[in-house]
Amino acid sequence: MMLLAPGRVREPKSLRAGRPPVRLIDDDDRVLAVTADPASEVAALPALLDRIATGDSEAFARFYDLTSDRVYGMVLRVLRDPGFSEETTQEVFLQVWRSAQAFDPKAGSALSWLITLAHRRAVDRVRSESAASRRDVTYGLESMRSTFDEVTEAVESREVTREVVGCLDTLSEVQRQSVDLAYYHGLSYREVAERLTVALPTVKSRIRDGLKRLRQCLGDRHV
Amino acid sequence: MSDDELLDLAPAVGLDAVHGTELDEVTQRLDSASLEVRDAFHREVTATREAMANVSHVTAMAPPQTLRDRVLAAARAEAAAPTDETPVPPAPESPAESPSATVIPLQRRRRILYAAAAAVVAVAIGAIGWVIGVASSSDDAPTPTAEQVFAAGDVRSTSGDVATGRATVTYSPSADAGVLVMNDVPPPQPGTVYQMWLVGPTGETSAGTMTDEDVAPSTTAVIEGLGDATALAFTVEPPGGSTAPTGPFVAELPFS
Repeated sequence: MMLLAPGRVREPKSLRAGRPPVRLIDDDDRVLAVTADPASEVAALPALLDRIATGDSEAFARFYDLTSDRVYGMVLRVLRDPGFSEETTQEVFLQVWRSAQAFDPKAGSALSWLITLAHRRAVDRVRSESAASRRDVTYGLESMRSTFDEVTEAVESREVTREVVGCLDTLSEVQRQSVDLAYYHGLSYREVAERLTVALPTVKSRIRDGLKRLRQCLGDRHV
Repeated sequence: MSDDELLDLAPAVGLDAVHGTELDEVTQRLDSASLEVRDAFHREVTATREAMANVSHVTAMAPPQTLRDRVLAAARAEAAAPTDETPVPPAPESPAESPSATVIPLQRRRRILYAAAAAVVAVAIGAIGWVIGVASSSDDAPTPTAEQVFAAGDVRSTSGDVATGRATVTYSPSADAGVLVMNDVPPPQPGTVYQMWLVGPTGETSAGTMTDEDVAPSTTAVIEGLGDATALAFTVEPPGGSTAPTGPFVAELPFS
């Protein structure tokens, strides 16, 4: 039968609970939480990755606490399923644990590195595992609300996110729609074109120009 | 594909919206492009990703606390057993995967869950010397139990407070086993032990005991033979444990 007495692990203090993310926003339908991440906390990420690369599990716990809500929130937008999203988030963080040394500060910010890992995984998953069911959804455009729109409505009054949301608002409606379908629905730009029944060059330029506006507004900051 | 066409695609690549053979094509084309074009392409991709990292601020949402427990336990387990010693099944996914690594070498491909799970076993066997009553416990090879749990299609978790700490059981009915992780659970008073019970339709079956020395700030244990148990419960018992609970449950984690 069963029977295993429990025991002690070797590094008793290394993985103790850290400070949980600060929840700022609760919405009736979708609970949105936004981490308060002062510049100092985000600025700590590269140093934490250095420590994680040496096997420092305390640094890993801290890194998780500072970033898990960003990863999970984005992944959930793509996968739209809490269970899949938890699995994917777990995979992402274990990847960080194993390959923190692959982070190259010259190639971009630590947060961007992390979100890129997470997005790639989420897109891989949504494309490989639910291709069939996604296709059903693909043409139900009318009923679809874009992630950007939801976000804009939910957080518009919050100082902490007003700036980013304001930047999303600088995109035209069609630009926002194209970026949204590509990024949060895991569609290729070709599939975006199909879905919107517009020409490929049109979609390419909507994405390109939309990103340009977003970047200009954000100032290409590393946040 | 002209240089302009190539650069035109960079934002879409940054959004992971170019896939399959087309992405291969972009990668090849990039390899033969001038340094100037390559740099411009990478700048575009990088800037796109920085922008979306910024946007992740407004989609942020706190995952369940149980996820934190699982992630940290899996990482801890890996630290105890290096992954290169662990046989790993091939990753289940891959469609648009390999080419994208060439475009922006920001990450390395990994196979995740299985290695992590196998390593949990190594913790159970290696770092903790306490396996009782399991057929493979004396083998060098780790028991497949925890690995089965983490890899099972029906893996789920349950958690609850134990005194001032938190306990989570990640379990799988098909593997008939679970992995218990306790964080910040205070040790039992000297002269007493915590005893775990599988609560089923026919009563409680002991699932082991923990002395004050067993309980660390982070404690992990494998529980096998879940059977038709509906919950894992904890009681405080005299040293050595009891054959049946003698006091009230101090904590109970229901299996759904």
